[in-house]
Amino acid sequence: MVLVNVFGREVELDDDLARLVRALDSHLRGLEVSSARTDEHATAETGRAACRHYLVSFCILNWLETWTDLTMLAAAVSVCEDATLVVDYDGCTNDRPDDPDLLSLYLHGTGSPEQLAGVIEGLAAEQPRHFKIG
Amino acid sequence: MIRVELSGGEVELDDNIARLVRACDQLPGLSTTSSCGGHESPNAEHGQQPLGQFYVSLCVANWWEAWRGLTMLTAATFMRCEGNLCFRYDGPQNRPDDLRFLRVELHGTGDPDRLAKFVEYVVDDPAHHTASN
Repeated sequence: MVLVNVFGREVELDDDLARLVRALDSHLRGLEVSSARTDEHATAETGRAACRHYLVSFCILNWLETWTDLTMLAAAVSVCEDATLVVDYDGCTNDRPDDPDLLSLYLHGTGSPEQLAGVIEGLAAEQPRHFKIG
Repeated sequence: MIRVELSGGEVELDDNIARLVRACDQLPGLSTTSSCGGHESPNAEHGQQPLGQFYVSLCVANWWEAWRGLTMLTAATFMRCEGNLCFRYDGPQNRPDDLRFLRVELHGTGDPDRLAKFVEYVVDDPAHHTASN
């Protein structure tokens, strides 16, 4: 574990997630990382190589800027094919199904989070944000 | 294949996906862009799915309204306990900030009509509680 200063506070992260969370902290405008963790699946039963899985959850700070963040993240994920950017419903059965506060956004993958971090850094460096929502 | 009138004009769809695409086309702020209902011999180059699997791809037509539409779609998949939604980028790698290339993709298995019913239900009256169905 490593202590990382992101989003204005000091948080403890798995070592290989630190770079990804720093990259997200630097380049996201409408989203903020709410949690990040890695898991290593037990593989003794299958005899296969250990499979690492990482999961980064987001909360939405700015609805319009989030579309720009999602576009950039989706572009990064399209480069790292072992990652997925998922949207889910975080409500319960009695909630209104049109309340966007019940959306849950997360990024998960089975590859290297450092590779995804590198892609995000590269995209952000090459492409200044010039597209504006009308 | 079947010809269907959507908000963006007439399109040709796989028969079994038509009802779901029509329902998704009614979601606020979102427009359908492509779909597949599954094929016995899928052509991967054309994004075709194997038999028993389906997808509907949507783009954002209105940035504010799309949040409601997206929530309705995720709620419908939640109610059905099937299907999953993810974001995809459908553009060149040198334009990762161009929002026109962002896609919301709904993937599922089985009969798309079952999910279509729930999308219709949520779109028809979002004030309904999910528990009531």
